[in-house]
Amino acid sequence: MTLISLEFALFVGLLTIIYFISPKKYQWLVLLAGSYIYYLNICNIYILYMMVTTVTTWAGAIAIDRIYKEQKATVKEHKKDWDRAQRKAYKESMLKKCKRMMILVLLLNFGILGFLKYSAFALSIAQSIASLFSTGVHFPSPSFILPLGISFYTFQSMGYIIDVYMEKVDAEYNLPRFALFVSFFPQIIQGPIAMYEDLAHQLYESHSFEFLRLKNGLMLIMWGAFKKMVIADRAVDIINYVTADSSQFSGTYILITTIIYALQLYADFSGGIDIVRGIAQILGIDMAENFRRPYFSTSLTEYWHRWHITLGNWVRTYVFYPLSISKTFLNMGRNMSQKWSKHIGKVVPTSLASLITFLIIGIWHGANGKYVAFGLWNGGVIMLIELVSPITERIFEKLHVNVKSFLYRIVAMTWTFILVLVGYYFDIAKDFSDAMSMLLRSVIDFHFTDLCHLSPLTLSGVDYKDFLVLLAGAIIIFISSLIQEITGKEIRELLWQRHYLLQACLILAGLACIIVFGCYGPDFNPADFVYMQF
Amino acid sequence: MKIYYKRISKCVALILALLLMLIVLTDIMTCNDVQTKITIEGLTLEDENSLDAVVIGASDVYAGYAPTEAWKEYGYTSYSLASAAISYKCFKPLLTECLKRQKPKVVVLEINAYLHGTEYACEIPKLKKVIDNLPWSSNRIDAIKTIIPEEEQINFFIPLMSYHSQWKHFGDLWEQLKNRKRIHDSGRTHLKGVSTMSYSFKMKKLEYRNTVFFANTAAQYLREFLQYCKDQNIEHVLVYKAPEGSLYKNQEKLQKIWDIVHEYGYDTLDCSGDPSKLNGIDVRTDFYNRGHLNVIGMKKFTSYFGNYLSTHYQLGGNHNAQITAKWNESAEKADEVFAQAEQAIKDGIVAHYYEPAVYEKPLPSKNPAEALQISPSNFE
Repeated sequence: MTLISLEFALFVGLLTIIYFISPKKYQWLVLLAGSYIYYLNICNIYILYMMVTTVTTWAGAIAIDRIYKEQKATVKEHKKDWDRAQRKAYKESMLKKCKRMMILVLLLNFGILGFLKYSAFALSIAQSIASLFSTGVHFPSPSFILPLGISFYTFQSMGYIIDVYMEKVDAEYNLPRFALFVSFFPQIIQGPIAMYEDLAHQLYESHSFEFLRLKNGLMLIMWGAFKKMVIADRAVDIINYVTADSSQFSGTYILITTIIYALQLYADFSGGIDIVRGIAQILGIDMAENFRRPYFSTSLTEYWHRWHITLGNWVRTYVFYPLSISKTFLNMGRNMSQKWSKHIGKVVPTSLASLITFLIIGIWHGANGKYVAFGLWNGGVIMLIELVSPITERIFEKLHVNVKSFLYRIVAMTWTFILVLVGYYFDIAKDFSDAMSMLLRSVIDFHFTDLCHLSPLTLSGVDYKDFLVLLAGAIIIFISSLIQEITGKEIRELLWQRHYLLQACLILAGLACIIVFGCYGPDFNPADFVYMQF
Repeated sequence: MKIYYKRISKCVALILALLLMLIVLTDIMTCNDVQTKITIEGLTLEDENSLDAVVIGASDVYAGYAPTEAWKEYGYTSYSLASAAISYKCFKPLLTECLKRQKPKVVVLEINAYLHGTEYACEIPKLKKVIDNLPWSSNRIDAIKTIIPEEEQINFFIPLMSYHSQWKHFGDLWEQLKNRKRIHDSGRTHLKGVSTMSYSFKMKKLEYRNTVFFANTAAQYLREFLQYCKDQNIEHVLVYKAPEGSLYKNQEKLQKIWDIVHEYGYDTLDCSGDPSKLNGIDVRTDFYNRGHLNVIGMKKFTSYFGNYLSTHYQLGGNHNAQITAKWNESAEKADEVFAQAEQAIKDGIVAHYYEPAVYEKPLPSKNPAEALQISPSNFE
C-alpha cells in the first residue's frame, strides 16, 4: 500500500470519513488505529521495532518527568532548610539522573537504528582495515531488513525525549496518545520530521470538517502526485540506466543525468511530502513545510534552510546548537580569537559544528562512504565560504558588486546549484570512487555535440516524448515556484481567488495531466519514493 | 445555508465534469488495435436484425471471407466478427454482443484459435484486444469476471491503467478517432470486417508444416460456446476450418473438434487440406502468406463458402428495400477497395486494406515482410 496506490487512496478516504463522523473525543483513536493498520500492512512484524521505540521513549520521558517533579517537590519542601549550594547540588544530581535516562533511551533507539542500518558498513570498514594488516580475520557481512521509516520515527521520537529532558515540553503519560505521535501514518514513511510541540497537540485535538482544508489538501495531494508520477517516476529510468555503468557514457550524458537527478529527487521527495501534508491538512493537521523552492537558494547555507527543512531543523536544534554552545567549542573559539583573529575565533568553531552536523546528515542518508563524502562536501563548502567571507566581501566592494541586484541573485543561484549538483554525484554514484570518476568525466569528457544526440539515453526506455514531458514538467514546477517566490503565497491561495470556472479548468487539466502522462499501470514498475529507504 | 448548497452544487459539478473527462479519455485512449475496434463498433451500427449470418474467428476469417461478395452473389447478409490472433475465450462475449441486436440464422465459427496451446489463449494482450473494445455492458463485465485472472481485472475495469500512455502513439489515436467518425457518419462499415494485404506469396507447393494442438481447456471453451448457442436457441451453427497454404501434420486431430460439435447437433466443414478443391484456390497466387488468403483467394473462397451457407441454411432474399440499398452501396465501395488491392498486387505494392481504405488509399507498408508476417528472406 504505497502512497500512490488505489488501495491507499481508498484507505485514506475511508479513514477520513470515519474520522469526521466519530465523536470528537475519539478522533485521535481513529488516527492511531489507522496508523497502526497502515504500518502493519506495509511492514508486518517489523512494527515491533516501532513499538519498542514508542514504549521505551514513552517510559523514559515519564521517568525523566517524574524525576523533575520529584526535584521540584523536594526543593519546595526544603525551601527553608537548604541553602543555595545544597539546592544546586541536589538539582545537579537529579539532572544527572535525567541525563542518564535520556542517554539510555537515545543509545537504545539510535543503537537499533545504527545496528540495522550501519552494522554491515562498519564491519566492512573493519574488514578493510583487517585486510590491510593481513590479520586473516574475517568479519561477517550481515544484511538486515530496515523497517520502513525507521530513521524518521527514531529521529522524531528522540527529539521528543530531548525536549522532555530540556523541559521544553511536558511528558505524555498516555501511551496510546504518544504512540500516535510516533506512528502518525501519513508522515511515518518519509517525514516530515515533526517537533513534538508542533504536532502532538494537533493530533490529540478534535477537528471539525472544513471545506477549505479539504480543497487545499486535495490540491496539495494532486500537486504531489503530479510531481511524483509525471516527473519523478519518468526520470528514474534514465538515472538507473546511466548509473548502472557510467563508464559507458560520455561526461555530457553523465552531467545531463545528474541534472535530471536534481529534478527527479526534488519532484520525488517534495511530491511525497505534498501528499503527506495534503492528507494531514484534510484531517485538520498542519504539518511542517519540508521544501521551500530549494533551487532558488543563493548559497549552500540557504539551500539547507530550504531543502529537507525538518531534518535541517532537527540536526540544528539537537546537534549544531548544543555543539556550538558547548564548553569545548566556546573555549576553542576563545583561544582562536586570541591566537588568530576575532573572525577565525567566531567562524571556525561554528563551521566545525556545521561540518559535524553535515557529516551526520550524510551518514543519515546511508551506510556508504559516498554519503560521508556527501556530508563532508556540503559541510566543507559551507565552512570554506564562511572562512573566506571577509575576503569575498572586500572583493565585491572593490568591484562594486551589488549583492542585492537581480543579476547577482541569478549568478549566486546558478553557482549554488552547481555546488548542490556536485553533492548529487555522491548520491547517484555506486560508491565514492565512482562519484569522483563521474564528476571528473563531466568536466573533461564534456562535448557540446552530444547535446544534439540524446539517443544513448533513450536506450533506458525513456524516449524523446518522455524528455519533452520532463521538460514541460520542469517548466511547470519552475513557474509555480517563481510565482510562490515572488508573491510569497501558495498557488492554491491565488487560485481560490479566481473565478470558479478557471479553478475547475485548472483542476481538471491537472488531473488529466496526471492520468495521461503519469507513470503507472500494468507495464510500469513503480519506483519507491526515494526517501522510503531511510 | 445558501453557501452550503452552492458549495455542494459546485462539488457535484466538478465531480461530474471529472467523470465525463474520464469517460472521454478512456474512449479516446483505449486504442490497441484499430481494426478490431472498427470491426466491433461496426457490428453495433448494423441495422437491427439485418444479418443472416455472423462469422466469428481469427484472421483467417477477415482475410478469407468477404460478406459483400457473398451479398452480391447469394443475396444474404453477413459480418466478419474477427480479430487477429484472437483468444477462443473471446468468442462467447463476441457472440453475446452480436445477439443483442441481431438474430442470425446461422452462427459460423472458425476454429483456428483453438489449435494453439493454452498459454496462447490466456495472453493478456490478446484478451485486451477484444474485451477492451466491447461496449460497456453486462456482457463486458461478465467477460472480465469470468475470463480474466483476478489480479489483472483492475486493468480491464479501468482501461486507462493500461492505455494512458497511448498519448505517445498519437498517430494511432488519430487514425482510430478519424475512422470511427467515418463509420458513424456513414452509419455502418462497408467492408463488414474484411481486412487483407496486397501481396501474392508465391508458394511452389503445399507443405506439411503445422501441427494441431487441441488442449483440454480449448475443448472446454468450445463446449461452453456451443452450449451457449443452444441456450440462445440458435438453430444453426457451422464450425469450420478455413483454408491455409500449408497442411497439418496431424490432420486427424481435427476430428476431435468435429466430434464435439456433432455432439451438440451442429454442423462442421473442413476446408483445410488442398485449397484447390475450394473453387480452384491456387497456392501460387491466392495467398499473401502461408496462413491467409489475399483478395483473389478471398473472392474464390467466399464464392465457395457463400454457396455452402446459402444452400445449406436457405439464406438470402428476404431483406427490405432499405437494407438492400445499403448493402448494394457497401458492395460497390468494397468492390473499389478490392480492385485497388488487386491492382496493388500486380504493381508489387504491399499495403493493408481494411475499412479506412474505403475513404482513402492506404499507404504502402514501411516494413512489408513484417506486415505480411513472413521472413524477409521469403519476401520478394
